[in-house]
Amino acid sequence: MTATASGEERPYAARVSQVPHRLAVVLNDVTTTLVERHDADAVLRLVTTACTDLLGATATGVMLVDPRGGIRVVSASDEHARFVELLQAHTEQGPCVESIHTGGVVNSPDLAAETERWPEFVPAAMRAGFRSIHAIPMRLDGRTVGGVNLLHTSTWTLSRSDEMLARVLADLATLGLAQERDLRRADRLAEQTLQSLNDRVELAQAVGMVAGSLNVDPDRARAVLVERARQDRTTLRGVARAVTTGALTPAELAPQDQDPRSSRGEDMGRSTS
Amino acid sequence: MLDGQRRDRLRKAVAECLRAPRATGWAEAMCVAAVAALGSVDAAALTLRTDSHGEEMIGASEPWAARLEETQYTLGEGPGVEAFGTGGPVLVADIRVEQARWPGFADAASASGAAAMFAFPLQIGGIRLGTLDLYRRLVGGLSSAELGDASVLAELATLALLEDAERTGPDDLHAVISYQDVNVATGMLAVYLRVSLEDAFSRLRAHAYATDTPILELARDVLARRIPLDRLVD
Repeated sequence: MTATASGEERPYAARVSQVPHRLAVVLNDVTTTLVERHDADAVLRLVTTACTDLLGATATGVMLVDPRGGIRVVSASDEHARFVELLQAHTEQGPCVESIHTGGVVNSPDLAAETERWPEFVPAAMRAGFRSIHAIPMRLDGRTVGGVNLLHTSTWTLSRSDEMLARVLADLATLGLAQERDLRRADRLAEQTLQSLNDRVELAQAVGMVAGSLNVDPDRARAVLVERARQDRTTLRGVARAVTTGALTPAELAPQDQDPRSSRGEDMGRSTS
Repeated sequence: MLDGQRRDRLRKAVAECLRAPRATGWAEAMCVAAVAALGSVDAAALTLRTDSHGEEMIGASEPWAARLEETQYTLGEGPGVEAFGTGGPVLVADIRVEQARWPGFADAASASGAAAMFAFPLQIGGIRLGTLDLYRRLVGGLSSAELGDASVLAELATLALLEDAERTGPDDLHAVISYQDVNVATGMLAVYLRVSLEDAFSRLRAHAYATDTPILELARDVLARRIPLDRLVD
C-alpha cells in the first residue's frame, strides 16, 4: 500500500519522473563542482548557463557586492561587451542594484513600462536589445552579497516555479563563492579582532595581579605568565584567563626558589612612602 | 542612486589619504580624511572599545581629539561610549545641554572647547569594535548629507581596521594611546585591596575623577608606586 501523506495521488516513482532531466543534469553538475572541485568560477559559469538553458534567459549576469562599496560584474553568460558594460555601468540605479539593496527579487516583465522608475537604466537596456529583466538577490547569513540578473529580449514573466529555480541557482552561486572567495572573511576578522582586544585586557589585568601578588614590576610579571604558559604547554591567553577568573592564584606562579607566602604584596602600600 | 555616488567619492578620497605614506599610521590618515570630507567637523578620532574596559585610541586628526577621547575613558561616559553601547550613532548638536546625560563629560568637553560631537560605531554584522568620534568647536548638527557621509566613513574605517588586522595580525593592532596600563593597575589594585577587578577599576576611575587626573596618568602612578595604594580605598 503506498500511503500518500501529502495527498498526492500518483506513486513516488511517477512524481520523480516529473523532474526534468535537464534540471537534474544541471543540479548534478553544480553540486558535484561544489563538493569536489571548489571551483567558484566553474560554479558561476554553470549557473549562468543554466539560467539561459532552463529559464530561457537571453543573457545572465552575476554581480557581487565589493565589501569596500561598489558592485562588480563577476560572471556573464554572454561576454558580449555591450551586455557586461550595461550591467557594470548601472551599479547606481536599476533593478540589479535595487534587488541588492532591498534583498528581494525585482521583477520587470516589461522594461518599457519602467522608464520612470529607472530613467537611466531602461533606455540603456532597451538600446542594448533587452525588454525584460529579473533580478534575484544572492543572500548569505542575512546579508545580500550580490545578485543574479536574468535578461530577455522580449517581454517575459517568470512563473512561480521558475522564480524558485532562479533562487536555487542564485543560492548555488552564493555557496560556490562563499567556499572560495570566503565571503565570511570580514566577519571572521572582526571576531578575531574583538577577541584580541578582550585578550589584551585580560592579559593586562593578569599581569597586574601577578605584579601585585609577587611584588614585581609588570615586565617581570608578564615574563612569569609567559613562562607558565610554556611550562603548561598552553597559551598565554589561557594562563591569563586562569588568573583573572581565580582558577590560578597569582601566588602559585611564584618562581620555585621563592616562598610564595612571602610575596603577597603586603608591603606595596609602604613601598611608596 | 545618490548614495552609491557619494560612497564612491568618499571611498576614493579615503583611499587617496591612506595611500600617502604616513609614519603615524592609517588610522590618523583616516581621521584627517574624515575631517576633510565633512566640512563642518573640526577633529576626528578612532578608538577601539570593548565591554571589558579595554580601550585603545588608534588615531586622531589632532591632539585635542585624542585628549577628549581620554576624557571619555576616564569618566566612562560620553557620545563615543554611548554609541559603542547602543550600536547606533549618537549625535549631539550642543554638548552644553547634555549635563544630565553625561554630568562629567558635558562640562569637561565644553571646557576644552568642544561644542558638538557625533559618534558612530565601528561594526560589522553584530560585532562592535569601537567608534569614530567627530568633534566640532561650534554648536550645530550635521547636515543630512554629512550624516550619510559620516556613516559611510565609519564603515570605511571599519574595513580599513579589518584590513590592517589581516595584514599585521589581530594581535598587532597599533594603538597610538593604549590604556592597557589602566588594566595592569586594575589587576594590581584588585590583589592589594582584595576586591574584584570590576571593583578595582571603579575605584581607579572614581579616584581619577575626584582628583581630576586622567585615568592613564593615575594608572602609571600606581604602577610606578608613586601613589600609595591605600589612598584608593574608597
